[in-house]
Amino acid sequence: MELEIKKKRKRKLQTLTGFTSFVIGLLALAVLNIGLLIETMDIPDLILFHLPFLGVFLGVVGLFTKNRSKQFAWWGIGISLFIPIFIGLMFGLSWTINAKP
Amino acid sequence: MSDEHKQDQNNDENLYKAYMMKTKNDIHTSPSLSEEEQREIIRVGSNTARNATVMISLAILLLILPLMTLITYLYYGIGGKANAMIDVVGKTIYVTQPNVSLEEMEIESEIGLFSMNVTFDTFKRIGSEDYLAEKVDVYFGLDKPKFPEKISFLEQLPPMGYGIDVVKDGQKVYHPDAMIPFNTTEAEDVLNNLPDGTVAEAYLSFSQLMKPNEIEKVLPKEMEIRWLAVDTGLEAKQLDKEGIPITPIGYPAQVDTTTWSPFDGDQTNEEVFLDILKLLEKNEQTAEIVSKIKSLEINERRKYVEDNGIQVYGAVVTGPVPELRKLEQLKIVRAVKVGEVKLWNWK
Repeated sequence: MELEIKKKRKRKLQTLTGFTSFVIGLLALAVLNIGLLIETMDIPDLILFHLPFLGVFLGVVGLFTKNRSKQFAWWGIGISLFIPIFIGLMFGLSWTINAKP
Repeated sequence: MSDEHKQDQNNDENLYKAYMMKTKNDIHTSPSLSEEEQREIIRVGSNTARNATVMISLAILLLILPLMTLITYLYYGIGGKANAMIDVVGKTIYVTQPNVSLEEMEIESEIGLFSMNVTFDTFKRIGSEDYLAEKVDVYFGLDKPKFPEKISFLEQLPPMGYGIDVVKDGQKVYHPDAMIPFNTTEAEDVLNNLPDGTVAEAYLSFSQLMKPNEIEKVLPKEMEIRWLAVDTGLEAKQLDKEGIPITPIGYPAQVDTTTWSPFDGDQTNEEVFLDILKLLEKNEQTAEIVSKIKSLEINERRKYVEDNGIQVYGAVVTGPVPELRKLEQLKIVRAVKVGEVKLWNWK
């Protein structure tokens, strides 16, 4: 019985990094949505770059822990990577459309 | 042989029974979870599943807007689609609207979801100064434009509507073989009654076709030729082959030093005009909607111009009113229609 309880506790701890990564990703994504809806590019770097970086880091830690479910970690990494890629692509494409010196 | 076989079968059965007995025994003796613990496992499991569903759904919802925005930017950005559309809009203005120019550097584009708004200001040269003529907003749903929304700053409001109205009210220059629908004496009276200290733009209809370089020689010196209406074979009837009214097309007479203007002097304005016709031929539908002209018939008109060369039947000039009055005396000028008038600014 003791062994099983220990297992349970361990499982909770392990999902925590993946879960946090996912939550950070969702938070950054929500702010990005707000930025798009109010049509501003004035979103702080903390949200667009630092937070996703943390998200990727935690997600990767989540992947390496011996846990059966790495679903949250994968989602966290995915979203956290999507945000900087999205920003980069948008900047690149904005420069090609009606660019002025 | 069969005895041996039977013996084997018995052995197998015995082994199987022994194994089953052991397993059953194991099941009964192994430590099992209490009902409460089982409930706890189910509760945790269902909670985890619910949390995962909620969070993944949230992520998908939050991804919709960025993904659609990205797809839109990719659509407009890859292959320079947006730039080509902006180019067509600008060039359509030059060839379909007499004495109207725009600043290419000031054309703004705003990209929404699967749509783009192109906004810009147009200017008219009256006397020596450029005056804001219109603020134009063209909406594109992907690559399909809607009729532009315009705010006019002109005293003479541009014709409202689409097609026939534009032809009837907006046209001020006429081919030598076409009937002039307004009273030419009344039109000249407008010019005669304007004060001397004003400048104006005047729309001239010539009594014969001319080469572009001949026009400057026959007109008074103290004025600027702004735009030339080109004979494209349809102006005498003012109808295309399907009987839809057409309006004049032409090109600016002066080299435009504004940054990125197509008429910047690298090529002659005539060459640029023909290039623009080729471009508009490929984008005729866009050009027709942007110019609010039902039929541009670019293909036929371009061929005519290429075969017959550029012959001009009308022009827009601007200058001091006393100087413009001299036009009435010229035989070559069949009709003069005054456009915009401003206070003296002639240099």
